[in-house]
Amino acid sequence: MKGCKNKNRWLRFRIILTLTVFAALFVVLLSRAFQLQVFSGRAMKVRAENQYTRKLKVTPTRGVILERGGQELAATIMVDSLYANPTHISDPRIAARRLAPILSLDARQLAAELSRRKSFCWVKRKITPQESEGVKALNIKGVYFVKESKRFYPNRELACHVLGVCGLDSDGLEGLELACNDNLRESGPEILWRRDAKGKALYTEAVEKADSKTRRHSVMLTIDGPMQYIVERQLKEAVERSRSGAGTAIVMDPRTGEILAMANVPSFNCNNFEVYSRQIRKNRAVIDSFEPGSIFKPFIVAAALEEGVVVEGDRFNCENGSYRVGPKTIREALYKKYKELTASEILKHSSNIGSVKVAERLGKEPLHRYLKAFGFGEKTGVGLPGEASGIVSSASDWTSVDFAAISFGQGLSVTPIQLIAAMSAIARDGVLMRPYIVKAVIDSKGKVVEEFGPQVVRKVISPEAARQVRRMLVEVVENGTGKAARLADVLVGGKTGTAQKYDTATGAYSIDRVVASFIGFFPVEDPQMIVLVILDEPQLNRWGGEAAAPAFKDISEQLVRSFADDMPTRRMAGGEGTGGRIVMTSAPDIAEQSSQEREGDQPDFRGMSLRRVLKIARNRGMTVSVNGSGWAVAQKRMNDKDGNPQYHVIFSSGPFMETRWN
Amino acid sequence: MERSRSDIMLAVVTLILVSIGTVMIYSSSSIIAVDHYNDSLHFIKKQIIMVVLGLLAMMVTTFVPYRWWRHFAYGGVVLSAILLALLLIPGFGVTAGKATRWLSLGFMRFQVSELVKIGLVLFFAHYIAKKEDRIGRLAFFPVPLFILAACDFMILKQPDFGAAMIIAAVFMAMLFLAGCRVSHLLAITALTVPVGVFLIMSGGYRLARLQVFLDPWKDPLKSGFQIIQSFISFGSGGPFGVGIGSGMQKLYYLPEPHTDFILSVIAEEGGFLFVGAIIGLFLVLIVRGFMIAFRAQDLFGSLLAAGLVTVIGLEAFINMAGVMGLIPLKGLVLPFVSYGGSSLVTSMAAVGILLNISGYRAESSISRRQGARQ
Repeated sequence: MKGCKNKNRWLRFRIILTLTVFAALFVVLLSRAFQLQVFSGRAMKVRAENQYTRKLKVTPTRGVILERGGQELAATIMVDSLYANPTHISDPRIAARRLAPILSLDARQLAAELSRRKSFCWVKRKITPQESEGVKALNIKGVYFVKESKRFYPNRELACHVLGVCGLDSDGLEGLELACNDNLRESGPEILWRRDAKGKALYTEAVEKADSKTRRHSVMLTIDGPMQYIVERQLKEAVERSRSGAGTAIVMDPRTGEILAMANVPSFNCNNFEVYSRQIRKNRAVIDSFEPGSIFKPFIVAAALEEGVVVEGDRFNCENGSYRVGPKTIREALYKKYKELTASEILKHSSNIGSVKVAERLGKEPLHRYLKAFGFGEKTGVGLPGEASGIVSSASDWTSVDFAAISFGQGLSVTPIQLIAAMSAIARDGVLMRPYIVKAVIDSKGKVVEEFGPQVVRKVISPEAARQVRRMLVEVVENGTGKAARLADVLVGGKTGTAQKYDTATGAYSIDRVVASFIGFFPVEDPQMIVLVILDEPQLNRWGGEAAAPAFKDISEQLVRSFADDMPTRRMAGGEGTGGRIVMTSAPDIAEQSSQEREGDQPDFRGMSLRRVLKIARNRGMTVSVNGSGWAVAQKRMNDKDGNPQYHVIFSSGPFMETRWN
Repeated sequence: MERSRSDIMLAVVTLILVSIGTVMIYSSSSIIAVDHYNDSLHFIKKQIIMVVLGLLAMMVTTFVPYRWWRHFAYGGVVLSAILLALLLIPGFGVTAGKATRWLSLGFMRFQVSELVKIGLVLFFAHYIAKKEDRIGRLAFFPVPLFILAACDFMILKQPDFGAAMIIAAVFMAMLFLAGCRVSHLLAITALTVPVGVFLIMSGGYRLARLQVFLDPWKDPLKSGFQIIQSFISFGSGGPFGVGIGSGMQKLYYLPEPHTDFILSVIAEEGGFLFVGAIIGLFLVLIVRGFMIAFRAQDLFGSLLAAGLVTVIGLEAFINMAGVMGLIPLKGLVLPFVSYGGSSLVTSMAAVGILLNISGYRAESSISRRQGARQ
């Protein structure tokens, strides 16, 4: 029994020992729990929050870009973007093989992307609704959609070079999208959501972060949508007609410096800009500089008149078409021969030798000073990115040949925007206006945040000198090389230009490759618009007077018809400031329409803005009811109960339609 | 034989654990249940049936005199062996997660190893008690070692490394308690070392689990995901928890939130407060269990009680230490708390047996108490 008791004691001892080991183990457990939960709990809590919360920076919705009438040139729409959580995809290769054909992606590349060990990757952003449907139908686990904003240009090509383009992250890359990026972009709203481990959102909350640096403002341009449309269409026609490589046209209001239209051909569709080369997307109107040629002569004459070295009526010996300067002989275009010409005639015939003579009276230094004063050789600051400053070398570097060449527009380079800005000084009393394209910045509530107005750069010449040059330029259009630019009902002043292109291969000026240009303003009595047309390497009509002047005429005629209901008419040929006001019906080429109007008293509102329709209606005492907004697309005549005509005009803000302007 | 009152405390602790488990199973499984079965009550309904079955089993075993079970010592081993062998025949067992551990009973899946644990504990207690005086001799070992090896071999074939380990460990503990020579124990342990190393090296996933245990942060999104999610649960629960039902981790962050990782859900939702309570309850259960072994009237009772409480205690420890990253994850459930009918019913039955054993006190303690009354 004693042995048994002893054994019993041993058993009990061992039980207590085992129990102690267990107790120790559980104390370890308790300490571990304490350590995990109380000591290092906070770090884990942060980790936990991180994994529950998903943040996605959604592409910011960009502010819109409006033309001056308030129509959207660049808008923002919401589209699907596709992303994946690779940790949720069971077989990346199968998923990639199914996704790739729908999204036109490379399956192998996609598979590699989906195999990465991370919880987020874009599959394809901003996909089309068709792609979106296709992917939804596949129902692949681990692939998710998110709405992103995408830039949309309702008018496609309209003002494409001015507007520029946006990248995937909605940052402007070119054009005004780039220049106004800080105003247009906002820091995108961050979407925060709690999610389970499968990525399923439990609830979402969009947190809009107000960032003081970035704001979503709209930008209103000085560009006039309908005018831009006219200019683009006419320029395109001119480029095709003359088989030019490219073309540029700008319309500016010389009174303010506002750019009303700016077009380049070839153009591109902003909505899928990727398929166009950088060369096509380049805004030649501000980025390209070229040797201006004869179009430059008015500035030489203006400088000479202002300096007083030339007086109206002075006659210049034009050396019978051959004038030796240093080692070179200067000749007239087409080997014409002039004996004696006045300054006005020099411009009218575009005499090279005459220009040299005028410049010689002026002298190198003053000429250089005036060129600078007109703004050549420096950026205008129009507000578009990539603007070139052109090249005007300093007068001390000029040889006598350089000096002579500059006087007829060779040996220096200018940009189209510089030319049109400089012309504003001649068109408006000698004051150079800074061209500008952004009229106002408007916040999301429609309040104007920033407004831009006319800005005088400097006074270049006296009003008298400007008036004299204007008169000479009228002569150019009425009787000189610019006859093709003559408008039926409005008096135009302008100058042609045909600049041979310098061929770097042969080291000489090319005969075939030229830049044909025309710059003109109207109405001369009170210039409201300057129109510049430049055609690069026209193949059919190489002369500025033959290629560019008709394009100027086509553009200007439509501008006068559509926009200038407040313009002086050419009552007295050659006269200035006669003060007559234009009446639409007086134009001979729309006589047909006017007779129709008189008969049925039926105006054609189509293509007009609401403002204009209401104005015409008021002037004529007609009753008009309107529907929609934007531009008039259709009209219907009804008689009210008294038998008086009443018009119902339908407006549309959709893309500008070709038919509206026919 | 004297009868005394059963250990009420043990019963109460068990029922508290089962209650907490039931609540937490609902909390952790309802969303998964909606996603998979479109019924948030899918798991909890089954579990409540099991709780009822468990209570019945516990009551029955409480009233069955524990010595009566000795009749089943050999039968239990044979039954265990047959059932384990059945699992090895393709088509008989139910496979889940690459392991074939269950037999289908129609209305429920029955995890064989849960029964085997109890069966072997019963057999070992019976065998050791019977051959008590020969425990010091080598001739004692072949029979139990063979049975242990055969069962463990079949369990490892399922595979269920955790269950095999627990059975082996319980056997060792019972030998130790019965007064086996420490040198013999060491020798047996030494025998199992190469087997364990071979198993770890041969089963790729075991090695991987070991590596994950050593450095879970090496690959936090794939292999380290489970244990890191468990850490996150414990950490984000903090001292007082985020509130019962309000946890995030059960939303597929934690694998098996209602079974293996139920303590992690408790840790997140109830904080250290609840985790401490669970650990404390298990500790009370273990202390009470060993005290029953301590006071048992005979060696068989002592060994049976100690064996059963060791099974429960070890399972609880391995599960909790696993989810807290102290030992590699084993895939064992937390007794009474985790979802799973077989474990619940057998564990509650085991508690019933303990309760019955506690009703019989060794003469000395009864006489001491009677002395105190006088």
